[in-house]
Amino acid sequence: MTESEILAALGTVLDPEVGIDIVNLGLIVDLDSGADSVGVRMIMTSVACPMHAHLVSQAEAALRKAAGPGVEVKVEVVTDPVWTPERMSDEARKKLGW
Amino acid sequence: MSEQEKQNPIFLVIPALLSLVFALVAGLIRLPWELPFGDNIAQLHGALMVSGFLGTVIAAERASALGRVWAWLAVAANGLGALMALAGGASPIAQQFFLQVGAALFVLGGIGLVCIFAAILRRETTFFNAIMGLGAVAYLFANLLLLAGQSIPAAVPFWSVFLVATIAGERLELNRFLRPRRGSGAVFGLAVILLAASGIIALFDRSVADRVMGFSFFVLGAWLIMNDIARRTVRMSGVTRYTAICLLSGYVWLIVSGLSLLTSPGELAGSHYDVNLHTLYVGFVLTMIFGHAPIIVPALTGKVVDYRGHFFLPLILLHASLLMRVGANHAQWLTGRRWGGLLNEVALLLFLGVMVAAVRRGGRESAG
Repeated sequence: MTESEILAALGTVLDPEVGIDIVNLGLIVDLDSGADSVGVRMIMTSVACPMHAHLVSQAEAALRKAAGPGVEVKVEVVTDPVWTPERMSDEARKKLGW
Repeated sequence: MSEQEKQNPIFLVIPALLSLVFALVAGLIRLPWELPFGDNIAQLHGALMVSGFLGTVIAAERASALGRVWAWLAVAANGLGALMALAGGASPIAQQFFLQVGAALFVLGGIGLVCIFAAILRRETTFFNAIMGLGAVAYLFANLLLLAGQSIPAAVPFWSVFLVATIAGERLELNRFLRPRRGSGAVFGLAVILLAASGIIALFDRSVADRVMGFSFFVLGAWLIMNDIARRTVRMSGVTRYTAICLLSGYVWLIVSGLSLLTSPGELAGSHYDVNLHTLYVGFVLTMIFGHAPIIVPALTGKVVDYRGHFFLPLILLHASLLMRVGANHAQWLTGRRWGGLLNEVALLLFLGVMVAAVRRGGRESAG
């Protein structure tokens, strides 16, 4: 998968409370893409957020669907860097009235 | 098996659901409705609803966020506390023993919740986590009062601080998605200080404490209506919009509860007490649960909630029946109060039915 294909797949995963996807919210830290594997590292907006396992499951499901069979998918939550509002895309900020 | 099911021993929440069912039975008896059973649990309504149900569910939510096995001990202790309290309500003998053991387990659950927030604060020292931590301390305090043999009304201010601080802290966290407004942080901080102070004052003078708490509810409710992200997300669609409408309507009830406490402080029984309590616990807290369940259920269980427009039906019934209950209380119309309270419970059961059906339609998210 190319980087843009990975981001497009991850862009279908919404934070249900905010109604904006995890790419535009700035939760994706980096990506690895090999011939038969995809790795994504993402952050949460807070360690007290109970959504992390849910968002990981959703992101993995979206990547598997886009990548097709035979591609190993791994989404990992990291704690560095810390999320700040500056990580949001211009599109997300516009939706949220910045 | 989804990631959540591997991580979360979600069966520990089952006692919370049992506690909720019996809390509803106890609530009916208190309204009063005559039932052929359950007289002994009428006095346990508040303990089963807040410590048994909400305490266990909130501890599970935080244990899931922290991702540590020990954190689930708080959930287990709290759930066992609920079972012991239920045994105390049902048992013809040794009732006091069961209730004491139940209260002791609720205290352990409270200690566990405080430890969870200590761990969260060590990882991420923020104002919003500190506010939720304050809520956990208030929860522990409420349970200590129960263990010390104090009455349910004595524990109420601490339960109220627990729930309002927990919800307010969460909303402040989400507020970071919005552009900061000048001075809004100071107003929020002042309201939280007043909220915490009201809990302490309640140990000495309930009437003053209710006024301070009422003012903090009023300010927090107004702040949330003006500043919460729900103002933005209410313009979106689907479940995001539904959640926002639940939240905004809940904030109105927080303001109403604040006004009720300001105008009828120090009540420990009767119609004004019913209004003071249930505008907060039904109007504010239950609408927060209605709004967040479609988000939290997948987070805890790995099940998809298939949102539909009829999610609004229980919400509308909840608001309408609470309006009826409040109006009937002010008019001293007992029949209206009884029916309003009964319909509050019908709304909650309807909501649970809607959620179960939505989960059955949605299936597992890992299949997606």
